[in-house]
Amino acid sequence: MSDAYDDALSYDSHSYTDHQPSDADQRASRANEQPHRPDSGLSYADEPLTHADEPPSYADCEPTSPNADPILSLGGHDDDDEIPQEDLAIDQPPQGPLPPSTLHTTGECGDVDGPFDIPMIWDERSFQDNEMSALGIIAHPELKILTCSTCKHVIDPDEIRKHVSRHLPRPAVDKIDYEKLREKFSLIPKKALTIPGSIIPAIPTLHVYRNLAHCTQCGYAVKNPRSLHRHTTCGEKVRYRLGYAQAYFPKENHGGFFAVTITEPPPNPQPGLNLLNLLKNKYPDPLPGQTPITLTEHVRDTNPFLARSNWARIFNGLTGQEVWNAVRADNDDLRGSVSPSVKRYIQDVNTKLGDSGCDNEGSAIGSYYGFV
Amino acid sequence: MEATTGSSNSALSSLPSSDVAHSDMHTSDAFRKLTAQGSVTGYAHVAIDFVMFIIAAATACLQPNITGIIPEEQKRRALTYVHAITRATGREGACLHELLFSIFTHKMCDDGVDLPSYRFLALYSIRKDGNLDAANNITGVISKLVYLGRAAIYNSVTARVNPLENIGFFE
Repeated sequence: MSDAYDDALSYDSHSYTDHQPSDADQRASRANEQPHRPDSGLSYADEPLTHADEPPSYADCEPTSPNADPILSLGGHDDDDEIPQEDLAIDQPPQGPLPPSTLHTTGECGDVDGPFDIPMIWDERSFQDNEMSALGIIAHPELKILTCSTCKHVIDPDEIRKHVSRHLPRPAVDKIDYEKLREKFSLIPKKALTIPGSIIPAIPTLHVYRNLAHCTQCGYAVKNPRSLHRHTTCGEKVRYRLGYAQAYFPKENHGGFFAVTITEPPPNPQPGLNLLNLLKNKYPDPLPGQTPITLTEHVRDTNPFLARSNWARIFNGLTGQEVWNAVRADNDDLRGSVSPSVKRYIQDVNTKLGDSGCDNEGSAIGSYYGFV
Repeated sequence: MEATTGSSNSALSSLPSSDVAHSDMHTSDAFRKLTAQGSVTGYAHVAIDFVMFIIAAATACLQPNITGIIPEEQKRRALTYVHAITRATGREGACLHELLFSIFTHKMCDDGVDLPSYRFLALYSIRKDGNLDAANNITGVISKLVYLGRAAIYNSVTARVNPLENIGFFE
């Protein structure tokens, strides 16, 4: 059994280094010719070969049943080590049809997708009060972390104020007691933060990556499956599978991916409806023009221009339709009388300026500097 | 720098000109664009909305929480203008000029909000769905209001310099 594992895995390792489309095609054709070997030790599913270029979907990486899940393991080779010649000397490739995951791993890391966002599904693991909502941060007490809903990553507990000041004006930032926030959730410092240690449901607000290889025991995930050689926590032979992963911090700063599971979104009850229509069906009322414009204080989505100009005071509590009617009343009899006199007034000024034949008057009413 | 010699009808030709007036070769092009019929129509459109807003505020057709508190002088001139156009007294132009002149020469309040032109600009920048209009559209409205204000000032200047050509502008 173990020999068969090694054979199969050394073959896979070989394919990582010398992967070429022609090789993959040859292997696929040879595999199809070979009868299935029941004692191969690999739980390869008898699934039809899928094409690697097929558009990814939620169901691509998460197998529907554990039996159908191709679990691979790696030997103790390091990236820089040469692969022993005996490992490369394979009489036969793995028998039976190649599993879908093998197709995913034909590239070193080119098949990895992401980051992308997942629908924000609240569960008991997440917490946010009004104050935190204004700051745009979400606490995850189980993991003892804070996440930023804008940046989609974890906030360093020592730099919460510095982080939220990127998104909020100073008065809102200064109102918060950050020490109390740290103590309330027992936040773990950035340097002491470790991956969860198991495969957990996806953390809301964090970016999700797809097609990452992760250890089936502790959930440690990497883009390149060969990098799992360095992962020695779970023993010599690391069994991995491809799936979804998240990271606490942006990937350019921190590579600590960990495997997560994602609940597949419910099927669309009405095929043909797009997301916009679904939202419209979900929130039929009130119409945008009938929603009062409310004066918000220190809310992250307040238009900064409105905050500076103080214009929000003017239309606080009014609806867009009311404001529109106030300044653009078309159905007024008086307008019919006002329009000719106003037009004549403006035309009169232009006529005077046109008759003058000089540009001084043009400057006087603002034509210089292209003020038109 | 001497003023450019223009028509004798030009009241400002006798006034000392600023350096700015002669500084740009593109001034005449911009001026032509400004006085084009399409531009005038566009400027008049905003001006009509603005005048209608002032009248609605003066006649209490709109609630004070929308229009703000309009100064008594402007209210009186707005009512005079309405009286002129409804009775066809023939002084519509003069009354409109006095109304606009009083609006654009009014001292700004401390908070800068209750000035009718300022309040109109804020309200005019809100779209029907309640969102703020695009910045370039707001800039266009500002330019049209400034144009209207400068036109009022220009009319006052020409009327005072050459009152015989502007009989009726001032009582």
